[in-house]
Amino acid sequence: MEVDIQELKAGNEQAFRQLMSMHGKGIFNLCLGMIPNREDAEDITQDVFVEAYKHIGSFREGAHIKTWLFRIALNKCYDHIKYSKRQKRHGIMQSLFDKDDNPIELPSNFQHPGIAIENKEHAKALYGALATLPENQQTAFNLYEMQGMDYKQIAETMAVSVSAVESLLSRARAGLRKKLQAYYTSNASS
Amino acid sequence: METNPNIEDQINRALKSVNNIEPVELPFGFSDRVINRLHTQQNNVRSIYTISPLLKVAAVFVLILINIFTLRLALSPQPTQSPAQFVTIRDFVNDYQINDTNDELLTVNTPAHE
Repeated sequence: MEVDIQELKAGNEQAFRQLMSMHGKGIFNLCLGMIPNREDAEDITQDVFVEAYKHIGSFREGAHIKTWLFRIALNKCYDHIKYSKRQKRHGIMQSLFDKDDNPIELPSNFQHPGIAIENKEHAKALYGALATLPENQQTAFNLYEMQGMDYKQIAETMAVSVSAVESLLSRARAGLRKKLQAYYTSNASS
Repeated sequence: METNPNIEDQINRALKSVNNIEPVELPFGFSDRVINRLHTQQNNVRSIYTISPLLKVAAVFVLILINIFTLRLALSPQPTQSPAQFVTIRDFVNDYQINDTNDELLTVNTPAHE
């Protein structure tokens, strides 16, 4: 059952609550996949629905509301990642004196409740490596490996062709392997 | 380059670590928090609209003042420039290029019938 778009456009609060109960969990998990911190992911999910409420008038009827919401969520996640990177740049002096020469930077506030404890350390390394990849490769990897979407759904969400998705995934995996190999090698030698 | 089997194993475990992620439930009261945020933002927007007529009046008032100032400047009498004072009548003639005046008129001050 889908939410009545006309009701949403009319500003019906009940319809909006229904939209959140239908897609809130999916958006939250997508955000957690991009930003592995429960609080940050919840804040971004809230932003997504506030944005959706404000701009529902521009939603084209006939399109998939889930895809539309996912696109808003991805843009919000990119904004958050950019903001975090800018914040880190202020700590440039600290990094100059930092002796840690790891090829990847492990996420400092890693807190993904969906990952099993025994996988946490490896998942942390994976997220560190993922953060070094271009945005579109990160997104394709997240949607395929973590959200379990198929190529067609990913292509629709990212507004690219299916072959482009295949290429993005292949490059993402190769890039991750390279980064992880450097990381584990440097850890083994130290 | 051949990879150490132990490292290869760790890489594979890292890549598979996110395959079986358990979907996480939304925190309790999520919808209420979003609705509250929307209400707060709507109230803020309303308060901005209550200020805007005042701003409009202020802007119109400033425009009127600028217009009055400009009109006053335009209509105020300009300080009259005193015409150039000619020391001699020859200076006057040179200045206005009076070619048909003969020197006699300029040099003779006395009337001709005297």
